[in-house]
Amino acid sequence: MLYPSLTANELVRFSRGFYPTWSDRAVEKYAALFEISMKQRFEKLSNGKQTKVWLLLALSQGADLLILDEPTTALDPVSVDQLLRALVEDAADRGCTIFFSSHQLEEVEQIAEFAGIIDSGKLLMESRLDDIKNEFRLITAAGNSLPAQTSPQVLSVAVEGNFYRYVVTKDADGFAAGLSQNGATITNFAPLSLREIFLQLVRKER
Amino acid sequence: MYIWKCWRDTRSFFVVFLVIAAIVMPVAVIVSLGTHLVEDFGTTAFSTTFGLILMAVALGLGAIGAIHEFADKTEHFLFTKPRSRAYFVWAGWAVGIAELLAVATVNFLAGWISLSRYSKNAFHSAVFGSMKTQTLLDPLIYGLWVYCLTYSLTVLLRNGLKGLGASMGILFGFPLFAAAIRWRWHIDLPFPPVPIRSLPLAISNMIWIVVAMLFVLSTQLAVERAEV
Repeated sequence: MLYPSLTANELVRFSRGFYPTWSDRAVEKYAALFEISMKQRFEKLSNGKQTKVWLLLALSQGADLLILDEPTTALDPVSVDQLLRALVEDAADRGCTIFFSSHQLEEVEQIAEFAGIIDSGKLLMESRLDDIKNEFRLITAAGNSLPAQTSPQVLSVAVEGNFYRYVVTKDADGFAAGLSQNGATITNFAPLSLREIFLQLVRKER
Repeated sequence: MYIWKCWRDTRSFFVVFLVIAAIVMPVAVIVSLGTHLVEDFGTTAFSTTFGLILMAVALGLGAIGAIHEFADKTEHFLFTKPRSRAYFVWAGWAVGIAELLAVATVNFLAGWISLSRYSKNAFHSAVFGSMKTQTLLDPLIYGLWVYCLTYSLTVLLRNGLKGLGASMGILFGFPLFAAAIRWRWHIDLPFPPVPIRSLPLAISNMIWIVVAMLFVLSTQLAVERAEV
């Protein structure tokens, strides 16, 4: 943990000497953006503000690679939004890489270019976020006696009366065309959110 | 700056003892004006206060200098900084030793000036004769020894209070243990700043200084190998 008796200003002073690429402009920018009381002792700050001080110290290092583990923990939605915007700006301005781990998949979806899905220490998927999202489709089809088994291509099937909900990976268009040839009517053909993809992959793995 | 951080942690303690070191002899001399106390016991009081102040400062700085630097979780933060662990051990030690020497210097100068002003010879007592250099070197060596021991134990035990307690246990317990050994088996165990057997004083002093530094070196090696 950070030294609790130091103020945010003192923590900046302490950290600055370790990093040749330290940016005081970044300190000013993030202190203002996160509304951090720089003269207050770290231990007197709320959990959210403490997280912001951590982030300020990390973002001001001018690092080429920044590893952030659950950086939005304890932050309110407004602060999360501010942080995510700041991270995107920072990465765009300096061309740095940000390695960001989170359980809040909506946040990852909001800013990530590449994403990896890890479950119980095993990497289930890693690719460009757009590619991941393009690879999975939710297909809802109405028809009789449609296939109801999972396969390497079909991750899950849910049947409700004459409606079949398929989560399909790879060549979803071809799968939908096959259903149509069997007399099915495709009522929905939609991409999945990252959260849904995560759930499908983890369920399949377990 | 880590050095600044170490200074920030110890400065209050340091300033208090610096003030004490600066005023204790002048006050004692002024209070004793008009008596023979300064002439008779000035040098004794000087060497005694010099030793006591150095020991108190050494114990205090040894414990405060690393009071929570290497504690659980704090060390996680500290060791993510792009410096070697040895740097953190020795930087904290160096700030403390600089403060210890500053207190010693101020106390020495204040005592010297006070005694010079109010007695014929600052380093001569009408009762005890002239003060030897070793009389002042002993507290310095002992202070260094106490500081290095306390600092090392504080770092190794990851806690200022535990380090202070362990150090005081050794400092006060060892003489008793040595006395028991001497009484039972007639063996003299060396303990600083007492000269080691028949060795020349300078060699003996050097050995005690090296032993003190070995405490810190051992601590560095332990910290470098610690799982964090």
